Amino acid sequence: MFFITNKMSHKYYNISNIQSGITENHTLSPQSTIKYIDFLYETLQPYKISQNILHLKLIDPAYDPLQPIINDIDGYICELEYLNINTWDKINTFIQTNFEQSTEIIKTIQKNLIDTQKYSIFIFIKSNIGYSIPLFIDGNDIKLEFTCDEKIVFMSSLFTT
Amino acid sequence: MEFSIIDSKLFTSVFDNMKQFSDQTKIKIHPNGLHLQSIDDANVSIIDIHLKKEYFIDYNITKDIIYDFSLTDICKILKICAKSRLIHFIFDNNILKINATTNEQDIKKTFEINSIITKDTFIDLQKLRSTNLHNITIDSKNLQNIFTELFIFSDDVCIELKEKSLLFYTTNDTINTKYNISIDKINDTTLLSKYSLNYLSKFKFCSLFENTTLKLNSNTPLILTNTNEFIESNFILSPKIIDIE
Repeated sequence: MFFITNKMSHKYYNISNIQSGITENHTLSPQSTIKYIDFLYETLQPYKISQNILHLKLIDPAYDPLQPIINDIDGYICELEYLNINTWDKINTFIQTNFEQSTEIIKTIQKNLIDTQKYSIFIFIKSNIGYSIPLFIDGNDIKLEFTCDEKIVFMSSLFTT
Repeated sequence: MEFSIIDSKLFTSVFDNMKQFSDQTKIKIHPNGLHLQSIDDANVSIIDIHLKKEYFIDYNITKDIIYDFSLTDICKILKICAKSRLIHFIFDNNILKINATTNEQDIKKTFEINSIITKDTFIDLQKLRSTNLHNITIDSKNLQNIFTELFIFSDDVCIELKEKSLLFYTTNDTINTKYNISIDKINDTTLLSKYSLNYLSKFKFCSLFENTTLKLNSNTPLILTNTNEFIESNFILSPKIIDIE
């Protein structure tokens, strides 16, 4: 089973403010998005290398802000890569290999993230029982919590300077 | 650019407590005192402390400078100097020199720490306070006990403010817990937020003070404020996702 977060619309339902840690509905500035995604990448990179089991909890209000999707997984980071024109071939191949129905996903990412040159990241988390969560993150419009052995690794409601 | 302290207990506690969350701290020295701020490794909590110049003796700081310091280094030195009758801090460009005079044998100890003079990247807490936070002041030791006890059962706590009650909930596979503190003020709206008990139980610094003020709102950072004549301390913790099950 694959769970796809609908992150490609132009309307954002951001529930975190990276600079204050306050969870409110608004979009991150481009500069904050870069900080947020860079911090996410740097934080998760060691866990991709170690293949430690992380617990991910997410809220995605993109489909319905009043009833956001809440999802959990215990898994390892299978793929972690910035999404841009230079990495797109690699990620495209990864999606085709790992997704049962990849055409629509590829088309949507191409249109909304690659063509628009949005600063974004692709994270693919897989559990040992086959369940997986792919994340296409282009800001802070879904709320994430990564923990490892109950220790907080990353939360969307973080503080940065 | 120098100052001294006689009773180092509070000063040492500040750094020991920060070290529980991070390896680095920013220290801004300025004519009115010291401003320390550190963020934990996951960037979800901030410790922000103002030490007023009245706490120190011979406080002679004439301009603002911000340093990055290793908390491990400072804590090692302060631990050694804990029984000293006087600790003297001298800032000389990148170098912090710490001189300590012991009570016994009159040994003078000198330590020099290299630091980096850094730019002002302190998070402005006023921005966090601009939201409609509700203030509740409770006994610090009781609060610390609540966090410590609840951490036995769970990693997270839901804090709810409802009418005349402040409620702390935890849940795990077999045990649900609820602690209820009666408060005087009646609240029209119900507030609910979830926080990491791992972080809250580690913040033992608040137990040095008689009272702690909790500033909270639904799904916003929790602020724990402690003040006395020498110090203002704020511990800010990001909210966690509340499961809707």
